[in-house]
Amino acid sequence: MISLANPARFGAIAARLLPWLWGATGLLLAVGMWQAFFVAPADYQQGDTVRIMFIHVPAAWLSLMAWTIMSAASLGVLVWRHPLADVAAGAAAPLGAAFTLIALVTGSLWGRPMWGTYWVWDARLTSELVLFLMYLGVIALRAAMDEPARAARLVAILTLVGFVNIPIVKFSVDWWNTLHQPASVFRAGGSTIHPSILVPLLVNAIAFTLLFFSLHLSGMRTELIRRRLRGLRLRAARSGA
Amino acid sequence: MTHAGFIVAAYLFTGAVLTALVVWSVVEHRRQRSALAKLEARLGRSDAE
Amino acid sequence: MTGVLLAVMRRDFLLLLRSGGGFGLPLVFFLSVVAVTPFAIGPDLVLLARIGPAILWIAALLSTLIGLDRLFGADAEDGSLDLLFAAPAPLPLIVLAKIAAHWLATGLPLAVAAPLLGLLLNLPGPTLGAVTLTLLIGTPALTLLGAVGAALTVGLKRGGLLLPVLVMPLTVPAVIFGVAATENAVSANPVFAPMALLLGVTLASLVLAPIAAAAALRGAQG
Repeated sequence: MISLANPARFGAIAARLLPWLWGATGLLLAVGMWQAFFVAPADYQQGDTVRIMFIHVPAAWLSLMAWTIMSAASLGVLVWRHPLADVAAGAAAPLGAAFTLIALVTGSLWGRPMWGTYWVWDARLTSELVLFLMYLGVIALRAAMDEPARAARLVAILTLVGFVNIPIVKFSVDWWNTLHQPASVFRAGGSTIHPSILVPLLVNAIAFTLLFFSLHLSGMRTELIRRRLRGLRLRAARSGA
Repeated sequence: MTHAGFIVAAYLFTGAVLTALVVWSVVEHRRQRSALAKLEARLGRSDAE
Repeated sequence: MTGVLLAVMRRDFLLLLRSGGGFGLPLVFFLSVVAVTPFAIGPDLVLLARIGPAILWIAALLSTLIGLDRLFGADAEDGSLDLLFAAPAPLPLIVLAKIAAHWLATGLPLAVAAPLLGLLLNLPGPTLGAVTLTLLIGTPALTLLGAVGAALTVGLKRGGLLLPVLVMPLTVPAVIFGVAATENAVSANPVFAPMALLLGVTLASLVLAPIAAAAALRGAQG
């Protein structure tokens, strides 16, 4: 961690890692999509619409993971004052928002044929929608502030306050009577899904996760360049160049 | 395939969003990198003057 | 230290009363929102009674959020915030004193006015006591969570709009349980469970919000 604190060093490591990350992402996505359509069987109840699960569930998992990463980064900002923590937090927010949106839209498109409705205000859907609004909130807060150091601290606080919603989203299907189905993968007692569907699901989940990390690392690299640019421009302006 | 429209729509939307993310990431990176290169070149020249 | 906290609370309370029309203005806003709703929905009394608890809560939420940016904004502008940082009391407690003053001047009048407005919304008479109780328990949570948003957006140019955007997701549990408790009260169902959950939300906010708001105020100073 400490050795990564140097932006130049981080940039170099990221540049070396990224081709492999993108490559692995592409490969696993291809495999995952193949399995989603040609390997996994149609569900006996839901028919082919169960194939939406292979994008909906990974997107939903990532929507929670992104905020968790942001929260860890926020601790990095506030407690350990790691120089790259804020960069990590800022790069993750738009990605998290995108995956939350994918989860909401694909869920809605799955819900219409399955439940007969595009939307219902049950605990799981409502808390995921609230999560989407929270992502927009941190993006808006960061954009509203000119001073990067101040923005880093305030966004970190908001992120940690919002972390309360993450367990609510995860356990909402257990705590409340919801239309959304209960947990079937990450639950005590093991998964209840048949391997022929579980394996493609996990493959796609790993593929989406690799995609997230590729985008995240790339976003961090770009942000570091942006900050260097800003620093140079300020210096140039001051010296009258 | 029943409900094909919904399945296609879901995958198309996801594909569009993910493609947009990747494209934006690559484009932004290149933009910033070239802006940095230009600025460093300019500052390098003015330092030498 | 108690002297300092009481002084802060008294100062904020008096400032709120004397500027912006005292108790009157939040109450008038509350009444306006409640009054506009039947114009939007139509005078269907059964429907109004059905959604009455929700309207009261939405109106309470909006009345609380409006003007919350002045909670720290006024002090930031004239420099009193720096004095508060240097005060001989922990900043979270000072923040709590300001929140208490704000609630006394805004949330409490709303809760007291709720029975009257409940009549306008055709809520059954005997249930109005329970309705008031839910608002009494719940409005502090709204003020507390709003204060976190106020601390985060202090001094920002569009802070007035950003504050509700940041705060509303946080107030969702309070609104859900508050409306559930009020609805149960109105339909003569047991109110204990949602009331207890609402009280839990308020107590949790009571502990966490002042700390988060104080951290945000310090973070903004750098």
